[in-house]
Amino acid sequence: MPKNINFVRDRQRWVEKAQSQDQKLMLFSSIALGIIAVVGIVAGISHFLLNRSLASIVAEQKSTKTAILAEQPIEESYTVFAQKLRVLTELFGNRQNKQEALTFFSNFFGPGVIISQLSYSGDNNEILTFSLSAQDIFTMERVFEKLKSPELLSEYPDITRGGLSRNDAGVYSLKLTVILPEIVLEKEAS
Amino acid sequence: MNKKSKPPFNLQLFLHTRQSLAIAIGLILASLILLLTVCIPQIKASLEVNGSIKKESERLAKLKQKLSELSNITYQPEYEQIDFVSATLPSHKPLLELITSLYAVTQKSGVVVDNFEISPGLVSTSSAEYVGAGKGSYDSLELKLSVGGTFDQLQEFMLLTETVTPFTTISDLSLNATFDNESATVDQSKASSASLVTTTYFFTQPISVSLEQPLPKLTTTDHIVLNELSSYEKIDLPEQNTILGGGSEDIFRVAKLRFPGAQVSSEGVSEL
Repeated sequence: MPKNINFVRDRQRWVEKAQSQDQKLMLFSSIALGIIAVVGIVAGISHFLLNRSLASIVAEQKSTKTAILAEQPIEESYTVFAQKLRVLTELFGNRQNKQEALTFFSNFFGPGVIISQLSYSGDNNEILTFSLSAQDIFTMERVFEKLKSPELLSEYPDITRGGLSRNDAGVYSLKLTVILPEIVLEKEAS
Repeated sequence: MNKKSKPPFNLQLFLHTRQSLAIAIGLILASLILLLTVCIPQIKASLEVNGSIKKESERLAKLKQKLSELSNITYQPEYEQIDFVSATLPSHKPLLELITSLYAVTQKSGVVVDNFEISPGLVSTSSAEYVGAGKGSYDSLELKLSVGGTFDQLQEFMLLTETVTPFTTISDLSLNATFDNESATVDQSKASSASLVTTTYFFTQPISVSLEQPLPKLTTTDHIVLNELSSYEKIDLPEQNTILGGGSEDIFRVAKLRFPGAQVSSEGVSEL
């Protein structure tokens, strides 16, 4: 017959098993805490280092801005220069269109025909209105012939004829209105 | 049979028997607190700072690029033409420049100006702000004039008018020329006359620059225009270098003073 009778044997077994599980849980939780602590430290250090890096970038920006401000007169003059050049490009293109048209029409009709009146509007569509003066009706007839030529119509398709007049000196004048094509400079640039 | 009733929770017994579980619960709570109060805010803050670094680095790169461009720009050939472009398209009503150019062109071509008419309107000064009625970036000044001379002289005049500074274009022309009956061309021996309206342009656009705004880039078309402009004749306004009249005599005739004890060098005395 046994000397000792253990009435809580089952209870002891359950407690031992539970304690073993608890120790495992404690181990895992301490590992998790350790990892979280390490992550926290790493995050803190990286935050500090990133802040330092940001501060150095901002400081460098400041010094660069100071250097740019010292060059501000050059920047201003160059910016104004570029803007003026842009305006001149527009004006120049329009005027070159007009000059090329005048040169073309001065030479196209041959001798005895001059451009006697001119009106140029470069506001929206560039419109050039001019009068061709010819010494006699025969020369003017040549002008009419030439006005139908495909060479002229390919260069300036929008051309409108106005009235024909004759002055006291016997000079015939024909009014022409030409809508100039797009800016020539763009063609040259391409 | 009665169900066995559950014994009440005994904390002391729990702590005695489940000490490890209690510590594990404490560690888990500590981990959660550490995670929520330290790790997550630090990581968030680090990410934010990292984003700021990227943004500021890009800004710094732009600023450095601009500084480098500014340092090199003075060595570019276009920079040398700044004054010429300013003379071609001035930032004020170029009244004096226009009249000077007109004078130079008439001298060169040999035409005679019969009359001219100009309405400059309000002259813009630094104290009177310009009220622009132009096309936003530029406005124009019109000059009406009548010129006389031979047909060749008039042609020369018209050609030269469009190749001087400030930028001027002939917007209206009325020419009176006499034809030679034999040669069927314009008679050069007879005087011709022309009435012209010229339009001279000036710049009116207000310009603002900011630190981070990059420098404007010149296009191929801009370079073509610069090349074309280089053939233009710049007309400089004559400067007054001498003062006429006034005389140089000392009208007060005050005797030269010397203070006793003052050390004045012989050179200083001779200058006095």
